[in-house]
Amino acid sequence: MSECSRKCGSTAVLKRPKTGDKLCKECFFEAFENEIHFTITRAKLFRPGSTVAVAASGGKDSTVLAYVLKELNRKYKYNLKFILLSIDEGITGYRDDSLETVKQNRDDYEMPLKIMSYKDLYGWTMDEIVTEIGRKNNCTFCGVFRRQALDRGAHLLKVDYLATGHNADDIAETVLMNILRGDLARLSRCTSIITDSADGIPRVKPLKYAYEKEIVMYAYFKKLVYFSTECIFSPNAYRGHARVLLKDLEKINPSIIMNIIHSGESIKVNETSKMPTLQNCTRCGYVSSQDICKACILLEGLNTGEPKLGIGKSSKVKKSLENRAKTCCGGTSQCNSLSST
Amino acid sequence: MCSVNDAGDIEDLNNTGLLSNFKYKVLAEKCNKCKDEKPCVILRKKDAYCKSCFLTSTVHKFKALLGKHKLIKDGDKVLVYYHGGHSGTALLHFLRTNLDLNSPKKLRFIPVCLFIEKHYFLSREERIDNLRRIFNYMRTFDIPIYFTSLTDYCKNGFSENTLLTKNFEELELDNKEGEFMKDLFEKSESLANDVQTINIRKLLISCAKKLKCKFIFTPELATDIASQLLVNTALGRGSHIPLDTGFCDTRNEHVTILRPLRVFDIKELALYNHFCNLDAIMLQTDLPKSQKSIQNLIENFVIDLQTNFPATVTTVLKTGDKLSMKKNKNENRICYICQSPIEVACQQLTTDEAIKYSHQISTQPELVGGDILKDNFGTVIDTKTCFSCSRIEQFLISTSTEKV
Ligand SMILES: [Zn+2]
Ligand SMILES: [Zn+2]
Ligand SMILES: [Zn+2]
Repeated sequence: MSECSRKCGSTAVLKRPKTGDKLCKECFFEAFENEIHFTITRAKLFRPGSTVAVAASGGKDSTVLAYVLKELNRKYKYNLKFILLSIDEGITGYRDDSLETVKQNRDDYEMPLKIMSYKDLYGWTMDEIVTEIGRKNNCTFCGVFRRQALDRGAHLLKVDYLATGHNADDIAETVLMNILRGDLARLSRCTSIITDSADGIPRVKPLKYAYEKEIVMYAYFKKLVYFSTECIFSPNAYRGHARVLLKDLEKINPSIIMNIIHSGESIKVNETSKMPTLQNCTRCGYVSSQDICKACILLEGLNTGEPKLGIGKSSKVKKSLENRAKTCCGGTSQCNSLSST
Repeated sequence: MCSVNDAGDIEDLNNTGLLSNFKYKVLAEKCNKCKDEKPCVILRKKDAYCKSCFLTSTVHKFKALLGKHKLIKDGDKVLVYYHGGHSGTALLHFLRTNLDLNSPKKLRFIPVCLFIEKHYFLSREERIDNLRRIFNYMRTFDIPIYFTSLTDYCKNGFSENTLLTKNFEELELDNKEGEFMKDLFEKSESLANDVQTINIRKLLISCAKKLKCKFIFTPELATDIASQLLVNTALGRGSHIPLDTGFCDTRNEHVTILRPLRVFDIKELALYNHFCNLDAIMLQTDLPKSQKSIQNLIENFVIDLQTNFPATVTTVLKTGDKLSMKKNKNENRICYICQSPIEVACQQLTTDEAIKYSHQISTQPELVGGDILKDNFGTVIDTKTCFSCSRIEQFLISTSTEKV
């Protein structure tokens, strides 16, 4: 391979997909870390002195995120405190190894770890849900619950920020997916580097401009321990289409990933279009586009023995809910504890 | 990782089913519309129409779209961009039959057709033969046709003086003119296609002005619109989606481009032509298709969606219809290449800056010093191009900023 583009005299070990430049190992480390520092500083992601929950799945993105945050915090004196936050869906075998990895992260990076289970947060494990509804719609449950789980966890931990490991590829894929499924509300906010959740804990994405390939290379060269696993359930059809399309486009030219993020940032949704206004769920207080959030509807179904509730048409759900006694989340009391604070 | 990531993808499952998973409906006994005749067409896998109701509703759809926008006044001249195929034929037939009506619903504008010769990859004989076929074909619709050449236009530095003629034999068709197009395609097919789209738009507007047309009809179908929307996204032209895929493109102050076929799919128009006994002219439209360009890849992706998940194509179109142009504080800042407004940053950190920073840090021997908060790291402040055109700038042979 040829010489490092930074003319340091070393031999390049990789060609950067984002820019096409060739870098040696040491220069790659510097470039990769400094870009994340640039992102954090330029986008003003954290206030000094804050506590940040780092969403930790044991996967490559969150492992690299935790490692780099720790390094940068030391080098540039951000004055931040970190807590690793993991979610255990309760799928037999699925998290066993990845939670082990997260524990390794905890020891390696000297960050406290908090594991929250679906059982803690919702009263149900995914295994129990699958037993209840079968494998057809379980991704709906898992997705809805996971979306709230990190925010609920961050709230319980009373942190100032929640940092997630979304990388450039994830964000580009999400832009395409939201176009394919016509989700204008998410389309207009999925490229934001900082998003607000209901209870005022901002979600931030320090790896927004980092390519998945480089994250893998970084973890590999740094010999970071991470766990890669695919969910054992079936994928979302729209994300599936978007993923295939993005992978093919990336083969033509990897800079397309940045183009798509740029497109997502510069798209504007028509003011006259009906956009769901965000409000707080009347049951759990979590941010929602309806009176009652999707998680509470799904829980209602699970707890009342009608698990299909919330999977079909929303008008049907409304009717069904109106005809019910209004016990919060079917009595798990998880929701109330959040809304009352 | 699980495909349901932390963003929590959820969806209603209405559109996700494969068509083949649905049970086929037994063909209805009667036409959905008149409830009388035996149906002979099924559209969208559910609506059964008899021949006469199908033809009426197809024409109605066309006129309803024009009527909804009420842009064209009686006596206005409209340039019709014809490039062969079923869409072109159906459009010509819509126009001819509705201009000839003897009722208040009659169309009252004056169409003029334009054919743009850009088939440099064919032999001279094939090209002359195409032009002659088109010339003769237009006589059956009794609509005047003009001819011009895209390569000629580019070669002449996008000059207003590019030949526009009723006599196709006057076009210069030496194969040398395609040389620079071939060069472009060899460098990057995606960017070359993008440049071609921009140049065709410029040429259309230039011809419309010469022929005193205030409007241009272009023949994109629903799938073309969906493809264009995704192509825009992939090229970093997200903010131009309303202009590039909407019903009207108002970038030019004198000439408005309209897309009157954007509500149709190819099947509808092919059936329309079939029932009206119309033969369409099929031209070899472009270079042999490859998967090497964004445009061809996405076109195939959309065709595949149309076959297996047609509701998703409709959703993509609806997504596009709900997007609008960002209110630009500085309205004058127009990209000199594509004539779209240049994006205005509305966040602390933009993708453009992130790319520029990456490039700097990967090429400079010393770590980028200075103030990481303020330095612009090579981002051009007073750029004359939009994000996407900054990439194709190098591909353009002429950097003339003349307005079209
Ligand atoms: Zn180096
Ligand atoms: Zn709720
Ligand atoms: Zn431009």
